[in-house]
Amino acid sequence: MSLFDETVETATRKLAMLSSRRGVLSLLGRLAVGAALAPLLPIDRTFGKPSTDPHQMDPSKCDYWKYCAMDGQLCSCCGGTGSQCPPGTEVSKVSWIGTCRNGKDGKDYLISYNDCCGRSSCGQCYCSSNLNERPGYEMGIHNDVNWCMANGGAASYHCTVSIIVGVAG
Amino acid sequence: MRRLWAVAACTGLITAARADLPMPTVYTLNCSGCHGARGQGVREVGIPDLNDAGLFVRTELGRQYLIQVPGLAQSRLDDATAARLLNWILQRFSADRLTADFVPYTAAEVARFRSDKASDAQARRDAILAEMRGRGLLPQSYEATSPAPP
Repeated sequence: MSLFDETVETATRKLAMLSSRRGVLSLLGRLAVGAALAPLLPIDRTFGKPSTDPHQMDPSKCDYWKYCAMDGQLCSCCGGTGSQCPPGTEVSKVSWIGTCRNGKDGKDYLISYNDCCGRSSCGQCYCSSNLNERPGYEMGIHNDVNWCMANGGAASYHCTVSIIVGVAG
Repeated sequence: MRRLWAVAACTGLITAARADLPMPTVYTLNCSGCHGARGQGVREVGIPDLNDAGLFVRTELGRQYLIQVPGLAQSRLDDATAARLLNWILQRFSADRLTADFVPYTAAEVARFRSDKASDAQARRDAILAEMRGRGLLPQSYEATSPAPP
C-alpha cells in the first residue's frame, strides 16, 4: 500500500512541478475552443462526391439551382453578373421572391429575382423555370410580370438577376 | 397605371410551405417583393410604407383595413399565420407608431374581417386617413412626409 502511495505522490509532485494550474486551464480552454470551432472550418464536406446534377451548379445554365423560380434573361449573359445589373440599367424596385434548394448544402434559400431596367430587352439566355408559380388568376403568386413597372421612366425590361436574400427556415 | 395594388401586392412564392416558418421568412416570401426588406414600399407608385402601418390600428376601420389589404386578405396564408405576420410587421417596422394600448391581432379577428376585401384599397385607405386627420389622430411626423392627396 505504501508503495502505491509513494508512486502516486511522486507522480503528482512531478506533474505539479512540470505544469501550472493556469497552464492546465489554458490547455483545456484551447481544447474547448478548438472543439467548438472545428465544425465551422471551411472544409468540403461532400468528400468529392457531387451531391447533385452538375448542371445545377453551373450559373450559365438555366437549371442552376438559384434559377429555380426564374422567368427572364440571365444578366450574366447581358453584360452584368448573376446578381448585378449591367451598366446603364437600374435594379427593379419590386421583385419576385422564390425559394430554391441548394443541392450542395441541402438548404432552402430565399431568392429575389429583380429585373434590370432602363434598356431594351437583352434578348439572350432566356430561362423560365418558375417553380410553384400559378396562373394569372392567382395574381399574388403570378410571375409573368414586368418587375420594372415601379421604376417610373426606366420601366423597360433588360434582364433578370437572382439575389439571395435569406435562408428559409 | 399609377397604382400597383392589384398587380404587385405582396408577391411571394412559397415552395417550402411549412406552418412553422419563422416570421422573417414568411414576410420575405409574401411581402418583401413589393414592400422591401425594410418595409419601406415604393410610395411614388402606391406601395405603402409599412413603417406607417401602426397608425392604422388607432381607429376601428383602420384596424380592419390592415386585414383587408390585398396582400394579406388575398394571400394564401391561413388566418392564424396572417395574424402573427400582421403583429410581427407592426412590431418590426412600426413599433413607434403603436399606442401603448395596442392589442395584438388574433386569428379570429382576421377570419371575421378578411372576407370584406378592399378591392379599391387606395380609396379605402384615403378615407381612413381623412377620418384620422379629422380626429387629429395623425402625428405631425406623418403629415410632414405624407401630405394629404390633392
